[in-house]
Amino acid sequence: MILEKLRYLVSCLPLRVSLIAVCAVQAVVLVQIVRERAAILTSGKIIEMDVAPVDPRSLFRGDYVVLSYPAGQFTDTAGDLRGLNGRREVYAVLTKNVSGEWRPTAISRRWPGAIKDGEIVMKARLDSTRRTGAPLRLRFGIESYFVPEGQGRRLEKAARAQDVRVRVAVGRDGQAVIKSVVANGEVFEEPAI
Amino acid sequence: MWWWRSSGTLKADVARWREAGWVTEPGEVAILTELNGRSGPGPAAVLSLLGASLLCFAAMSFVAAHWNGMPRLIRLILLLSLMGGAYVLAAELFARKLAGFGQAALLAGVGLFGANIMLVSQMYHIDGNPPDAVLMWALGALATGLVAQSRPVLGLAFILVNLWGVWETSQLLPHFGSGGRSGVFWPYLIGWAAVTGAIAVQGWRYGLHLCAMALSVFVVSLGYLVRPGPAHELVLLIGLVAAGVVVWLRRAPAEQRPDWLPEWMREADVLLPYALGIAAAGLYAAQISRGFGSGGLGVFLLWAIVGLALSVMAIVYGAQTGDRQVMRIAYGGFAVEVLTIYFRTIGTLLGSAAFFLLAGALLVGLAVVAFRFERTASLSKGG
Repeated sequence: MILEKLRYLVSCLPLRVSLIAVCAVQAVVLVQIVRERAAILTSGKIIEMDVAPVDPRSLFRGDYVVLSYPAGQFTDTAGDLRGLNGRREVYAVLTKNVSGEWRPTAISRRWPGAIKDGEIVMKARLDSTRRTGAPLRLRFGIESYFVPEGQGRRLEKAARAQDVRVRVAVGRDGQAVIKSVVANGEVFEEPAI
Repeated sequence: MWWWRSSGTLKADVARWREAGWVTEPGEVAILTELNGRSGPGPAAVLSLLGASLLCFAAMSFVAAHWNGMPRLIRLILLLSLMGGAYVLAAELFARKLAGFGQAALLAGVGLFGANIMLVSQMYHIDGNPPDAVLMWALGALATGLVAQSRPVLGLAFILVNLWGVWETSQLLPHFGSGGRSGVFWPYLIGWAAVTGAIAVQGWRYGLHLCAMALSVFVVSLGYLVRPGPAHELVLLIGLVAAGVVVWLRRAPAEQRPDWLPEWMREADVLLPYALGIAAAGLYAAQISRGFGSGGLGVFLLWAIVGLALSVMAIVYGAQTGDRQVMRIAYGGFAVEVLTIYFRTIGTLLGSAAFFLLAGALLVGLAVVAFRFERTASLSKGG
């Protein structure tokens, strides 16, 4: 019987060895995430983005500020992306407009082939709450900024004064990581580790 | 199903059977020895598990507080070391035959793995898809529970897999219906199968019941979430097919039963109540969604006849096989159906009276047929 065989296999593994193996795999997974993010923060391309924050709290990760990026709106004038929906991963090509703000100029399902000077590619996920006909809403994975308990107020005040900007490090694969938040001239720097 | 009976009741029954001479004295001793051997975890083990759970919550709250009095690298090293320490401690406690405390240390280790995921996502402000973090935690719990054969850890994996499924489903709901999109999160079934497989390998019966309940809820939710829908008839069909398979397994000769099913599952009708529950949920939902509103009385009564007929069939089957669990569900279903008919047809009391008269006469007729059938069967057995 398959179940009996599996049970026998599991019982043959020495507990100490298997627990150390499980612990090692879990630690490697965590360290790998840290390594990837730290690499982006140290060697990624830095851009500064305008945001409109609000201030909620996460059950497990504490107080945080939701960062809503105007760059996360894209109107598909060409209609090339009509079939895209759900929470699909896409690549957004961002360029600086005349006001110096980064805005998406193209969205594609795959990594765009040729990237011009002054352009940056960011990995994004389509927001599942998009209504038919409305602009595409993109999430870059940098929409939450966690702050120490009770210290979200300074950012909240800055948000009311519309004076918050975010410096984002972008990796070679388009992964974005928050490098620092600038609120009312005060810089909240994020160390690599 | 004997495992639903409390050990106290069973011990009293065994003493009574011994006095009546149905069980020999050595038999009584053997039964009591086995029963005592099956006793659950002691208070020390339960308290240590509760303590471990609280320690995990302490670690998660510590992460959530985002205390910057300690550099985050030190926080990460601290939590990773605590996680490793918990696993090493668990291995040591198991080696010293302190299984209860070992389970608590394992649970703490898996809880700290979750706290570490939260810490890393907080450190880098990762705002991807939050259920992915829950899935990663569930996979860690599943691997640990499987290699250590730990029921508490598999229980945590079960909770996490279900939390992941519910969270993902809730994210599909804002889109539900637009463009014919369904709200069913199908990958949940992979997670469910993985955790059920691990629990089956462990041979944890109560855990398997939990898995059967979770799958039943998933199947019933299909009726509401599949598009084009509602698809409650599909739920009814799944329930009936599952019930049919279970009944076939019970009646089939031993050599025809699939050998991959665990022995206790083949012998006992453990899955039948779940199958009947699914069928009943599908039937009532279909009856209410199709048969309420103007002009739906005829459809409603058709569904009512189907509901009553299925309830009666289940009662007869339960009575024939002595399956009390099935009979309870069937009686419950019958009562709910009768009440539903009463409330739906209230205002047309003459119609209600006619319906109940017909249904009652039909049931009395069925009872007479069943009585004759049973008498013929007992006469033929008596030779």
